[in-house]
Amino acid sequence: MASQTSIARGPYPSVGATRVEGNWEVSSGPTGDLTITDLTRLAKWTVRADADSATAASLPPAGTLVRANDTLQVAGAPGEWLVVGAPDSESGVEGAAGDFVSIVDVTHGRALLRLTGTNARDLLAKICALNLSDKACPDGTSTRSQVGGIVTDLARDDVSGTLSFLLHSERSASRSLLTALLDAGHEFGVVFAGTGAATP
Amino acid sequence: MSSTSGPYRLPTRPSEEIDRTKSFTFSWNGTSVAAYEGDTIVSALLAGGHEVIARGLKYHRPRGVLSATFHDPNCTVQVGDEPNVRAAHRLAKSGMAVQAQNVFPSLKFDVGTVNQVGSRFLTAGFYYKTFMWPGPLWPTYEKVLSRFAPGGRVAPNGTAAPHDSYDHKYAHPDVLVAGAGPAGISAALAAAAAGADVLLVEEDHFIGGHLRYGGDAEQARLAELRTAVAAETRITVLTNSVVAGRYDDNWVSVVQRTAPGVIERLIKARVGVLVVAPGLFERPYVFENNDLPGVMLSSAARRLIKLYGIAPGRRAVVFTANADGDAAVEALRGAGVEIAAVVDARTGGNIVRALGRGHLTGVELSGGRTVKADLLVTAVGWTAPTSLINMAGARPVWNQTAARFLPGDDLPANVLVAGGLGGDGALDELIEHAAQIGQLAAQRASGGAEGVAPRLGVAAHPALFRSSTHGFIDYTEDVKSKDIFAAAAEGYDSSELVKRFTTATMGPSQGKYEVINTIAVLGEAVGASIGDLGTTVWRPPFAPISLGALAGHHSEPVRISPMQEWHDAHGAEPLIAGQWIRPEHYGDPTAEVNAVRSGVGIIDVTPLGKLDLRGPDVAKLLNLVYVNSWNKLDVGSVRYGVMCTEDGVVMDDGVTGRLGENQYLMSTTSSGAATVWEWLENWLQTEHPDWQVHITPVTTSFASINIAGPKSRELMSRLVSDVDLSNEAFPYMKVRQGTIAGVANCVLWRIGFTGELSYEIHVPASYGLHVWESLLEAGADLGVKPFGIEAQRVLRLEKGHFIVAQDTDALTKGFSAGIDSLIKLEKPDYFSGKSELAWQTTDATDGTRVVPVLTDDPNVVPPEASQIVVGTKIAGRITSSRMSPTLKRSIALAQVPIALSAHGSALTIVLPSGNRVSARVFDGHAFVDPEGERLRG
Repeated sequence: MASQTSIARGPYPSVGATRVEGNWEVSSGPTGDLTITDLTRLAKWTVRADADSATAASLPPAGTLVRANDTLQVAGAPGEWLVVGAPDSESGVEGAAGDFVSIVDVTHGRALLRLTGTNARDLLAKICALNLSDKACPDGTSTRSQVGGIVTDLARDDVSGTLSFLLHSERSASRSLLTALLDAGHEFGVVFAGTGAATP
Repeated sequence: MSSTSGPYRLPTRPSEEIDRTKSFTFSWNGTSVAAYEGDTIVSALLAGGHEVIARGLKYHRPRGVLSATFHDPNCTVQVGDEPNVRAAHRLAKSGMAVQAQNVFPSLKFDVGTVNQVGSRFLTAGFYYKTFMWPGPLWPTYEKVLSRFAPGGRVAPNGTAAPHDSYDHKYAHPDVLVAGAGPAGISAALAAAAAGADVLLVEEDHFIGGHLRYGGDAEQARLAELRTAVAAETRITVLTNSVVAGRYDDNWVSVVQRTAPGVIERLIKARVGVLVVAPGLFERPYVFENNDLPGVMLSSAARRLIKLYGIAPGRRAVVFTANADGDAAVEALRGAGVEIAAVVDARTGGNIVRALGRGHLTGVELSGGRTVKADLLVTAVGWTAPTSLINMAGARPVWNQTAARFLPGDDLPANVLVAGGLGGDGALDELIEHAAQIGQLAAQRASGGAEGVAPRLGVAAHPALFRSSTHGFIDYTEDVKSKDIFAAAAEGYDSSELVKRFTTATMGPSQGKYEVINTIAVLGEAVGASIGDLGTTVWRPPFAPISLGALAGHHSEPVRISPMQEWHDAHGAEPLIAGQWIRPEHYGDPTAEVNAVRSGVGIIDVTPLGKLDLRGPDVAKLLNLVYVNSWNKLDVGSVRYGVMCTEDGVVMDDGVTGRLGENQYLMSTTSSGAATVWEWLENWLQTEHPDWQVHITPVTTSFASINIAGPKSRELMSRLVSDVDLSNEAFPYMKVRQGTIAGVANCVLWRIGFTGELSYEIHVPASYGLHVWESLLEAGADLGVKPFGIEAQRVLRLEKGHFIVAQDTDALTKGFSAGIDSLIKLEKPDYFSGKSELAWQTTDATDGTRVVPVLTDDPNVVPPEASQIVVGTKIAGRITSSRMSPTLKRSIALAQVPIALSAHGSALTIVLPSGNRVSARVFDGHAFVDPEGERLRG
């Protein structure tokens, strides 16, 4: 039966008992040396602007990411950014005067996972053809590829010195992405720990 | 001699790679065999005195160890339900069930040996000549011949024992070194020291190459090298793995057999520089009975003694032409094997034939002397495994001094050679040279100076290939040297032709032991040199790869809506549509149709493609890609449109709503979402980069639900709080934004594919399940039912709507689809397909039309794709057909020639049974509610 209040649900199965935080149904389980967490509830926007515009100059260059205004700004391609913020927050992106800029809320259409652990790169090497070595993909790098056959934006965003990748994909295929990650990470003892932090 | 685990097991040796503290047994053709951990199947069998491992392909002669390596052509066995296991490489395991293959009824007594009697009829080309005629008998021949096919047996489908899986992995090493002998190790160490990340791949179970079975000095050097490798964090070592192929841009495939829980892993490596250091393959000598068990290569004898503590025989003859043969003599003596004779080719010695039936009993030397022996060791030279450099496009050059092929000057910059493949030298020279190669590889991988690859010198070696007698050239294909002469006599005078006619070099060892002898004997036959004849080209894979490794772990992503779990839990029959999993129906599609026509139903249409279009030039884009006009679409309105390709063919359709002054939401077909997105971006980026339009795919940003039926407004009114749903305020083909079941930012379209009063709502996807369940709860008293794709197909067919790519095809132009009123050729600017569509109007008789069709017999539903014929010619086909629950009769859409498209035209439909039924083109467009009163109500 439908609940009396509107409940937002992410695309992944719950880990143990669920609870509601804000208006999101969340659940969490134990983490491990190699852990996947669900960050889908974070607010997400795609920002488009001419790559040579003043607006673009205020955002990170293609292939990189930065933290600004309590958001994570990921430049996936020239003239295209993904901005991630706390649930129900604002993107904080202002188009420069005269620039043609669009900001589209894709919170509900895109899924976001974080894969953290020393073996994260080894796991991804089984299902992603990209070179994710320190040389080719240092911390703060963003790129786009297929992971497990699913178009995915990858961002290297280490956590306290531990190797960590953000994986951003279309929501409808994200369950398959999680399955592929868990499958590939079986030999490394990967665990899915449910809902992650409420901040990017 | 010790017989700790068999009569041929030697006392412990410092170089051995077995653990004598761990012993176990496995079965060999049903008998128990003792083994130590680290034993290969073959070493354990030899320790127990099991000399015969297999039988030949054609003549079924008994075969024993030749090289004692992975590639040993005589050591292929069946292990459990796994066929074609390389027994000289595969480590024995406790309880393993090993059997000889290609024998009947047993390895000891094989009826296939009868082929030896008729061997003179089984020469090369026998199959080609014998089974050519009479043609009708080929199926019989095929059945009989298949029984003689070599190889083991795979388990029948579904009966295989549980086993680990196969998978793939990607790697991006700066330097990949193929072969971890002393040269490969040295190259890897130097490359790593220069800052490169190195993947060092070794086919055997341990690194070290020939040092593993060398003397004390070599063992000491190996220990140093192993220590250095272990200390180097930049080197990743893969043992029991093989570089199988090298492709363009240094894409290198590696088969790893040591990944945990994985039988074989195919590593796809994009390599900066490939260093090829495979060492050399010791070449067999061709003489009569050279396939007798007890005849083996010098390296095999040394491996057995040094690595596994096995005495390869009791009394040996050694035929040597080099230092390795000499080393074998020493190793044999050290193992207590009596040396009956050392025949030195460097001083003119030679052997003529091996003696014995089933196993070696003696050796006839040149000059006629016969020596009793149960072991004949040959050391006559080397074959350079040029496979990987062949794959890099290089053509090796024959060097008569060294009596083997060497790399030429045509290697690409990202491929280097180290070790014996590149030349000769003392161990220190080879290691120093390899270090220079490794350093150069690191420099090149980092984009540094090109540098010139240093080269090794070559040492003179006797060119020994065949004695005065004939023997086997290819052990796996049972090709003899006299077969090569016979082929040459028939005119097959090139190495490539002889290879294909005789199948020499085409067996599982792929020429590693056979190619040079084949060319040498051909040279004898035709009076040409090896250099003139050249070698055959080695292609990937270097070593066999299982189909499992090639396939990897099968993963097929699927896409699901936020409500899919609900559908699964409520009995939905899944329908796979592209990558999407959708509910086809919930058990009774007819009841679902009736629910919509009489009350209200809801369907999950999340897969509908959705694109967010923003910018001041969106209308221009819409005018460009749709055949109809978009200049006067007001904010709050939606419009149906059809897209055509530039050749006028219908490519997609859907509705687009204007949500704001510069904001639109476009819907596409479910399967066309990605194609349409690319289509629009293509126009913008290539033809109109000046237009200010941003496109964001938002297909799964929204959970989409269609609420259809005469009671849909009543249901919606119970959940929508901030939109006036009256027909006056929110009429057909309008769009509103509002709150549904407490969820803000929903988009409501008043449209209807079903022909009923209906609303298509697009809800922020995370709330999709909440809104879906709310609709069902709020509409329970209205009889609301979920309906699936099948009911929707019927509903739209009753309304006469076509589906792109079902009722149209890759040749269906706009006017053929019957959208005449939609096509606005008068639009002043170009739109996609305009020229072709204008041309289509010039000949009213050309092409086809999609038309509604009624069979004369209302109970006959012609299956989709049924032919429509005129006389004996196919004129068209049924594209959609169903029994209409509303009309209680058959309805259909069809593609017919224009000449048959007029209302009332008589059609003849051929059913799959061959029966013909009559039908007519329906006089109208929609079978149900042709005036559209229901959907506008």
